[in-house]
Amino acid sequence: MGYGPDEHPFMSEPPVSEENPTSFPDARGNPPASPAEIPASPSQVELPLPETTDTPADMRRAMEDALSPAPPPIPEPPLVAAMETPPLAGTPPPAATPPLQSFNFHGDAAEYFRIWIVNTLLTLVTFGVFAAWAKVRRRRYLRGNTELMGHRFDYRADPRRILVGNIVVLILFLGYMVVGQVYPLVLVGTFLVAIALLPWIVVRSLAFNAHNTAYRGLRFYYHQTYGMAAMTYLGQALALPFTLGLYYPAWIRNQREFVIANHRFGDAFFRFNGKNGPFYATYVLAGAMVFGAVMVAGMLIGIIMTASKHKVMTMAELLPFFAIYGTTIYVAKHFIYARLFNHVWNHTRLDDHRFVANMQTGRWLGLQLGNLGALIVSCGLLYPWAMVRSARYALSCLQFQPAGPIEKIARLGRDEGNALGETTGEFFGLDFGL
Amino acid sequence: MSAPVQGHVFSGENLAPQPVSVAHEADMLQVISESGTVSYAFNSVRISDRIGRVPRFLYFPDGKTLETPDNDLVDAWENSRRRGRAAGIIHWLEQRSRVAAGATVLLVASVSALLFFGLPVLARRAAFVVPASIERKAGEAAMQSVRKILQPSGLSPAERALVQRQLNRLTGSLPSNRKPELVFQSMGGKNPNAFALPGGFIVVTDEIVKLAKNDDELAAVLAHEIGHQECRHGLQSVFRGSAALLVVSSITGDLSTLTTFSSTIPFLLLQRGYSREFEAEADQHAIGVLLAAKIDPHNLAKILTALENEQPENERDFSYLSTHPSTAERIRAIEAQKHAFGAVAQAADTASVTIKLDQTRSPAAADVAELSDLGRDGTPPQPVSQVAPDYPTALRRAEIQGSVVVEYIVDREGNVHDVQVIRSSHRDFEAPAIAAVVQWKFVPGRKSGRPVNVRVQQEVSFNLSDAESDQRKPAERKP
Repeated sequence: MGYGPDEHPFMSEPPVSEENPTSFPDARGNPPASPAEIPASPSQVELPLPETTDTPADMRRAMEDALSPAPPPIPEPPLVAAMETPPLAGTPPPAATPPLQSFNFHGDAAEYFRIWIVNTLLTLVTFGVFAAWAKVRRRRYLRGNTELMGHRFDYRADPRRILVGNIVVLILFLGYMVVGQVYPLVLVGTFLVAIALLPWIVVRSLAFNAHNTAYRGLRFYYHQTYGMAAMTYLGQALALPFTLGLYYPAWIRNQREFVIANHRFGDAFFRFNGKNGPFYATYVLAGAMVFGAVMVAGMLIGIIMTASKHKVMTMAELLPFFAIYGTTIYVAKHFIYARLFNHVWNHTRLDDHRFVANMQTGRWLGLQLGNLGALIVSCGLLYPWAMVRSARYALSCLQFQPAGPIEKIARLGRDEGNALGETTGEFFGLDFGL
Repeated sequence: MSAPVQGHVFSGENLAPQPVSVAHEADMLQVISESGTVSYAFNSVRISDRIGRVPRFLYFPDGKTLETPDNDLVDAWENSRRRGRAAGIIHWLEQRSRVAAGATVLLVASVSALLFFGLPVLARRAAFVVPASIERKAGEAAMQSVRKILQPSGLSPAERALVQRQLNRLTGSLPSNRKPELVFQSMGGKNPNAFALPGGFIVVTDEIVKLAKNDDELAAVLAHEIGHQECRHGLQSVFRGSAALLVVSSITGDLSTLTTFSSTIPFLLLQRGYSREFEAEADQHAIGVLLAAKIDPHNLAKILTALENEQPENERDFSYLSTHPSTAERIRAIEAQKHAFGAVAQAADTASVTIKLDQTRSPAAADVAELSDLGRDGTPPQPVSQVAPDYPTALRRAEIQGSVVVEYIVDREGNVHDVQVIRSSHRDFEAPAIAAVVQWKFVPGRKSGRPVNVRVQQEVSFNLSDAESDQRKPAERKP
C-alpha cells in the first residue's frame, strides 16, 4: 500500500511540466538591477519595468522595492518579526538561514478508522451513492489534521459534484464492460479514446483538487494547459520506444515538473528545478532491485522444479516466485517514492519559499512493509491505520522554509477568493486521485 | 446565547490571520475583532461539517473564512438553528467505538455475502436476459482467442462427422436458434478437454475424441457442454467477473494501492469456486439430456474417470485448488441425480420410454433383498462380466495399492445400481471403483426361484501387478 497520494495534498507527490508560462529563469533571487535600488523620494520614483517572466508577486515586490526607501544594509536583519519591512528578495539577508516550519499531522489512527469504517459502510448501504460524501470526509480529515504554522489545511469539494462525476464514470465503465464483451473492437476504440483523453483527465483532476484545497482562507490553483499536458504525457511518451525506455526517468521528471510548476497559491507560484540525475539514479537502483528479485526467485523455482521432477509447475510451487516478485515490486515502488520525495520537495519552491525534505528511505520502507503485512492480515481493514502512519511520518519529514513573511501571499484573480467557491462553472468534479 | 467562538478570520485577500471572537445572537453571527464588528445573517454562512477533532471552517458570504477549534460551540449553534443534522448524525456514528465494531462486522459480512450469494444471482439473471445475437457476438470474440491459443484439429472429416452425429442425437429438443456449433481444435497431444463458449460454440479437442472409448461417452461429454451452454455459464462468469471487480473496487477503492499480487489470489479462488458450481450444474443438466436421448448417464461417469487419469498428476495434487469438483464427488452426484431424473421421466413419459429408462432406475428400497434374505434355495447374483477399474496414474506411480469396499444393488435384470463406497484405503481409488462397478453385469440373484433385487457388498482391490497389464485397456474378465 502507500497512501493514496490522492488523500493528502502534501503526501501526493508534488506535481510537474515543461516550460510553463511562468518558467523560472531565476530572475527572482537576484536583486532587480534597476534604478529602483536607488533611494529616491516617492514622487521621483522610477518604476521598474516588468519582465515577461515575472509573476504577479514579482511585480508587486518590485513595486514595493521601488516605492519604499531601501532598507539600510543590516548585517543581521531580524527575520520573522519584520512585518513592516520584510527582507525581500531584493535584499537577501546574508547567510542567515530562515527558520524551518514543520508540518504537523494531528490525525489519530483509531479516530480515522472509525470515520473510515462508518463511511465505507454507509457507502455500501447506499449502493455507492454516499461514496462522494465519504471521500470528502476522508480527505477533510487528512487535510484538516495537517498543520503548518498554526493553521490547518481545508478541503472544500462539494460532494454533489463528485457524485455526478462518479455517475458519469460508472456509466462509461458499465457501457465499456457490456459493449466490450460483445464488440471487442470497441475495446480498442475505447482504449484509444482513453489515451487521447488522458491529458484532459489529468489536468481536470489536478485543477479540481487544487481548487478545493485551501490554507488560511486561500485556495490553491492549477493552471490548466491541455496542450502542454498532451505534450508531457503523450508526446514525450513517444520518445520511450526510440530510446529503449531510457527516457523513462526523464519523462517522470518532466511529469513532476508539469504538475508542480502549474500550481500556484494565490500569487505565489510553485516552481520545480529538479535534475534528471537523481531520477535516473533512483530508477536504476529500483530496476536493479526488481531484476535481482527475479533472478533469485527464478533460481528458487529452478531448484524446486529440479527437486520435484515435475514438468509443469503447480500454483503452489509458483507461489514463492510471486511472493518474492510482488514484494520486491512493492518495495521498489516505495523506494522510488522516498527517494523522489526528498529530491522533488527539495527542488520545489513556492515563490521564494523553500521546502526541506529528509525522508529516510530505510524507515519509509520499514513502515510500508509493516503496512503491507497489516493490510494482508486484516484483509484491508487496517488501511486507515496504515494511512495515518504514512501521513504522520511523511509529513514529519517535510519542512517549510519561508523566505519572508508568508502573510504577503495574496489572492490573484477572482476565483479563489470566493468562499463558496463553486464558480469554476464545471459540470462535475473529476477526481481520479492523481 | 452561548459563549463566543474564538478563532481566526482570513480575508481571502492574503494569508494574514486576524484573531476574532464570534457570537451568535438572534439570527446573526457577530464577528468581533480589534478593528470592529461585522454581522452576518446566520443562514448566509456556510459551516463545514464536523469531522473528528478537525477545526471547523465558516465560510462567510463576503469571501472571508473563519478557522476555529471550538467544535462544540459551533455544534451548539447548529443545533439551536436545526442545521447540520445529517452531518451531525454521521459524526455521532463516527465517534462511537461500538458503532465502529458493529460496522466492521457488518461490512465484512455484507461484502462476503454479496460476493458469494448476491453476485451469482444477479449474474444468472443477467445472463438469461441477454439477447441471443449479443451472446453469439461475445462467443465469436471468445472463439477468436481460442483459435490463437489452440492448434488446428487433425481430425479427419469422418471423425468430425461422427462427433456431429453424437451431438445430433442430443439436440433434438433444443430450439433451432440454440443448436450448438461444433468447433474442432487440438491441444497438442495433452490435456484432453472440451468446453462451451457463449453463443453455442462447443470446442471439442482431438484428444478427448481419442480418449472416448465409444460413441456414448462422446455423447456424454457433449451433453455436459450443452449443459454449460443452456445454463449460460459463459455469460454468467463474465458478469460475475466484472461485477465482482466493480463491487470490490468501489468498496475498497482506497485499497488500490495494495499491489496486484495480494488481491489476485482471492479472486483466483473465487473464480474457481464459481467453476465448481457450474460443473456440477452442467453435470445435472447433462444427465437429463442423456436420458432424453436414451443414453446411459454412466457414460458421463466413465469419461470423467478417464479424463482424470489423463490430467497431469501434479495438477491433481491440489484438489482444493482445482477448477473441477473432484471426480468421485461428481460421479456420486451423477448416480444420485440419474435416479431422480429417471423416476420423473418414468412418471411423465410414455410406456416405451419407460421400459428403456427402467434399466437405469434403481429398485425401490423395500423391494431389495439382502444376501441373507435369499434363503437356502436362493442363489446370490453371479457375475457375468466385471470391468477392471482404471488404476489412478498418480497412485500407480507412487506405487500405492489399496482397495475400496462398495455396496450396490443387482436388479432383476442383472444390472448394477446405487453404488456406494463403504470404505476405501485412498480417496482417489473411489471414483475408478464406482465407474468400474456400474458397468458390471450379473446373472440376477434368485429367491424361491424368482429373480429379485439383491444388495451386495464387495471389495474392489487395486494391485499393481494387475494394473501393469490392464492399464488403459480394461479387459473383461469372466468370473
